[in-house]
Amino acid sequence: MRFIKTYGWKLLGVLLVAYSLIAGMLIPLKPGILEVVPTSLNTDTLAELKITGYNTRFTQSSDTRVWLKLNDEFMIKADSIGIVDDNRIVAFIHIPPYFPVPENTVDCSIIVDNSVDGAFVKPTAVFLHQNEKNLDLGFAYWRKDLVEDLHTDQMTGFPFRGILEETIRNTYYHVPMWFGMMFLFLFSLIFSIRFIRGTDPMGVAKTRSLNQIGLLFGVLGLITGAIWAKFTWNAFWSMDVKQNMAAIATLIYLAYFLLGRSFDDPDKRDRVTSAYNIFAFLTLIPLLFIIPRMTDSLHPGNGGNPALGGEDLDHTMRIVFYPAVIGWTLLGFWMADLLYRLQVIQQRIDDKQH
Amino acid sequence: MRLYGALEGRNRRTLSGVFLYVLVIMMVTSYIFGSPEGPVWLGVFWVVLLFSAVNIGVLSYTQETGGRRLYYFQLADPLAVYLAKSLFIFILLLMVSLVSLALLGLFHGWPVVQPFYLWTGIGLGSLGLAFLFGFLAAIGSQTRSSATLSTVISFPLVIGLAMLSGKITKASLLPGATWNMLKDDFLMLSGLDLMIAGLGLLLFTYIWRD
Repeated sequence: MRFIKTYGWKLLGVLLVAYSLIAGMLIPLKPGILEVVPTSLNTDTLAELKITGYNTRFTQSSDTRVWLKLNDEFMIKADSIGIVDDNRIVAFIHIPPYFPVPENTVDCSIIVDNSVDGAFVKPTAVFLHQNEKNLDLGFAYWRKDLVEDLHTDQMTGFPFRGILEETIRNTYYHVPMWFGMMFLFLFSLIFSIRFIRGTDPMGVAKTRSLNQIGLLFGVLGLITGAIWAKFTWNAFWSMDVKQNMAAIATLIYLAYFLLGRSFDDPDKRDRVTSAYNIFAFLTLIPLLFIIPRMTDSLHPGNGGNPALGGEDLDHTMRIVFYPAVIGWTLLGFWMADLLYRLQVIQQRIDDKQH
Repeated sequence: MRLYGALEGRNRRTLSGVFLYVLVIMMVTSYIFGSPEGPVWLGVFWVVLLFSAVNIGVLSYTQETGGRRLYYFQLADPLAVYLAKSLFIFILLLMVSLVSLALLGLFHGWPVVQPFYLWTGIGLGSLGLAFLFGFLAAIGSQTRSSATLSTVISFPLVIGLAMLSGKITKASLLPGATWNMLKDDFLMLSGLDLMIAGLGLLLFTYIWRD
C-alpha cells in the first residue's frame, strides 16, 4: 500500500506519458483531401478536377464517388472518375451555366466517398464564377444529386483537418504543457499561502521547485506552440493574444526568480518572494482566462473559432489527449518533488558546514 | 496616516522631480511622433502615466532612510502605511494625468469627444496602478537594486490594468461608443482594482515587517 502511494503516481505518470507518445505518434490520420486543382472554375464547362488525397487507398476500391456541393440543396455528382494512384484521382464534373443562388462567385466543397476509406470532405475547395445571373435557369440546370449511402470509415485514426494535417498530434504535447503549468503554479500558490501563514516552514522550497518546473513547462509550451504556429499560421509569433498572455506569465515567474536572488537576508527573501508569488498568481491568472475571451484570437475557442471538444476533439483524440494531460502533470509534480528534495539535501549540507 | 501625508507633502523634491520627468517625456515623444493623433495621442499619455507610476512608486519608498522606516514601523499600522502610500501615489498620478493631458492638449490638440470615458478610465486605471505600485515598490525597496527590480517585477503585472483602462479611454475618442459596449470592461477593471487592493492589504504586513 505504501509502495503504491510513494511510487504509484510516478509510475502512472510515466506510463501515461509513454502511452501518449506512442499512441499520439503511431496512430495514423484518417483519409482526407489535401488539394483540389484547379481551385477556381468558370460556368458551363466540363471541369477536370485533380484531387489529391491523404492516406487514401483509391486503387483498392472500385466504387469511389465524388460530389461538388454548393449547399445542402444543390450538389452535382461527378460524371466519371479516373484513378491515377492510391492518392490521386481525377473527377469530371459538368458545371451548369448558371447558379441557383444570387451571387456571382460561390465556393463549393468536394465530397469523396468509397468503401475502403469512407467519406471525407474538403470545405471551400473550389470557387465557381459566373458572368451573368439567371436564377430560374440556375434552378433548372443545377442537379440535386443526393449524397447518400456514404460509407463510414473503418480505421481508427485522428481526424484529418485542413490546415492542421499531421500537426494535429501536437495537441497531445502542446496543450498538456499549459494544463501542467497551471496545476504546478496553483500548488505553488497553495504552498506560498501555507508558508506565509506559518503552517508550513518548508513552503518556500516547495514553491521554488514547483515554480521552476512550471516555468519549464511554460517555456516548452511556448516553443511547441511557436513551432505549431509556424506550420499552421505561417509565423512563429503572430502577436496572438494567447501567445502574448503566455509570454507575460513566463515573464512574471522569471521575475520571481530574479527577485529571489536579490536579497541578502534569507528570512526576508522567503517572506517577500512568497508574498509576491501570491500577489502575482492572483492578479494575473484570472486575466489569462478572461482577456483572451474578450479579444479575437487564432486559438481554438476564441473569436469564433471552434473550441476544444465537440468536433475538434473526437473520440480517438480524447483517449490520447486526457491521459497525456494527466501524465504530463504527474511527471511535472515528480520533477518538482525531485528538485525539492535536492534543495532540502543542499540545505542540510550547508547547515553542517557552518 | 495624516502625519504621513504632511511629511510627504513637505517633500517638494518628489513632486517637482516627477513633473520635470513628465515634461521631458512629453518633449521627447513630441519629437519622435511629430504631432500625434487619436490613438497615438492616447498612447503617449499612457506611456507617460505608466512610467511616472513606476517612478513615483519607487521614489516614495527609496527616499525613506532606515531611520524613518523604523519610525513609521513603530508608529503606524502597516495597513495605514500601505493605504497612505497608495493614496499618495494615486493623487500624484491624477496630478500627472492632469498635467500631461494639459500639455498634450496644448501641443497636439484635443481629440477627445467623450470625456466621461477618459476620466473614468484614468481614474480607475490610476487607482489600480497606485495599489499595484504601492505593493510592488515596497517589495522592490527591500532588495539591493530597488529601482530596477520594481520595474522588472511590476511591468508584466501592469499589462492587465493597462489593457483594460486603455480600452476604456480609447472609447473616449470614438463618438459612437456607448455604455453598454464598455459595461464589461468597467466591471472587470473595478474588479481588478478591488482584487489588487485587497491582496495588497492582506500581504503588505508580511513584506513590511523587518
